[in-house]
Amino acid sequence: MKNLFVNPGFLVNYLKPLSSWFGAIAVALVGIGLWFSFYNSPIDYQQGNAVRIMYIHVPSAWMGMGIYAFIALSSFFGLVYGHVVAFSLAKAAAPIGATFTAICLVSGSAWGKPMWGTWWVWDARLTSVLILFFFYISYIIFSKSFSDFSKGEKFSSFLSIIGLINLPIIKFSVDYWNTLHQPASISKIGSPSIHVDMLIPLVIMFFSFIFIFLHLLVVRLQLELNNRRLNLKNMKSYEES
Amino acid sequence: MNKSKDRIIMISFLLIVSATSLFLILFALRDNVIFFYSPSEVQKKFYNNEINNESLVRLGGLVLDKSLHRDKEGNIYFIITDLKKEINVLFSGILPDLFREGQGVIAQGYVEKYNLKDDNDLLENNLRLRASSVLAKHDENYMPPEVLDILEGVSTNDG
Repeated sequence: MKNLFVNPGFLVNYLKPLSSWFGAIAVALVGIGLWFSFYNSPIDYQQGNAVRIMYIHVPSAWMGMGIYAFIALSSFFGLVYGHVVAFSLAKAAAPIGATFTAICLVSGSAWGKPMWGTWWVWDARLTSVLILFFFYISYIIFSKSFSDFSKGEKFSSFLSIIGLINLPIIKFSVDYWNTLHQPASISKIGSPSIHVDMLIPLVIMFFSFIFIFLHLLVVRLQLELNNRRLNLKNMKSYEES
Repeated sequence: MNKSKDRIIMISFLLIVSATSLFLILFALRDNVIFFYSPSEVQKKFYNNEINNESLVRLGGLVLDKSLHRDKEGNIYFIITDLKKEINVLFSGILPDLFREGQGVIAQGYVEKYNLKDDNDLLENNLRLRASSVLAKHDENYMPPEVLDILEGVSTNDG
């Protein structure tokens, strides 16, 4: 078992079947989730049909934050123990998390226009999520902008760990400051403030996004591990010549 | 093993230092980070001369029940309250869909003093926000309309 994570060459054998399984589960869950979201869930007493944007917006926001925490954690293990697979996992996850964050921002904007009356405002919640997106972008850019890839890895890993501070700011921004964005519905202490018929599509969509992430992560992890092997080979042949 | 221990200490130190400094910055800038002021805050700031009729402010609160009305020129008058203080708002433009009495809204504009002869304003104090834009907040409650009917039925039975 230990060998599986320490030795990348060994790990690669397991990744291909894993990616197909995750992909199949993701497709099934997305189908069920979208059917619930668009056909089998009630309208909201205030927002009418526009509430259906929530089933895309909220899970992608959770994914954006969750994947960032995953990247920072893997980077931490990479930095501390010099672990090859940890760095590769972080690098594989970054563009996926950036995409989920972008989906969150765009769908939120499309939701804000009819409900609030504006596409964008600089309130604490919206701004901190935009900063999260910028952290993703800078992580990706810095991890690729050194000719020695292990140097870029270390630099961007530090950056991702520093960006971890942003996550509690996003979470508590709606409680601590006055914002246009409403406070959390699900993690509210006491009675849940979302009706169960709306909670079902939300939860299914969240799990389908998790499996989309896992599928893409496994596919991209193979790519990162192969890339790393090529990089090492190039460096070796460069040193020999 | 010793090396990785050193790294853990270094990373934790870095994280704690930057988190603390960021916390201090945000704490100091709290007045600028918040998106809107409540009517109480606006009144206090206006009379303390922290804001005047040239400073653009955002005022947030609930639209007072039965305060919304329009005049012939299409101007919209309503009152924003935080259940302690109230401020008149004058606005001409398109209101967002969710705007209604009792709803949370945010109006952006300039605060001005005005004389009480203007009979379109219901409130007896002399501060008014001349709003250039009005945004609607929505709350964190999501439910189908039928459920709201049931809930309201219960609460009226109780009262």
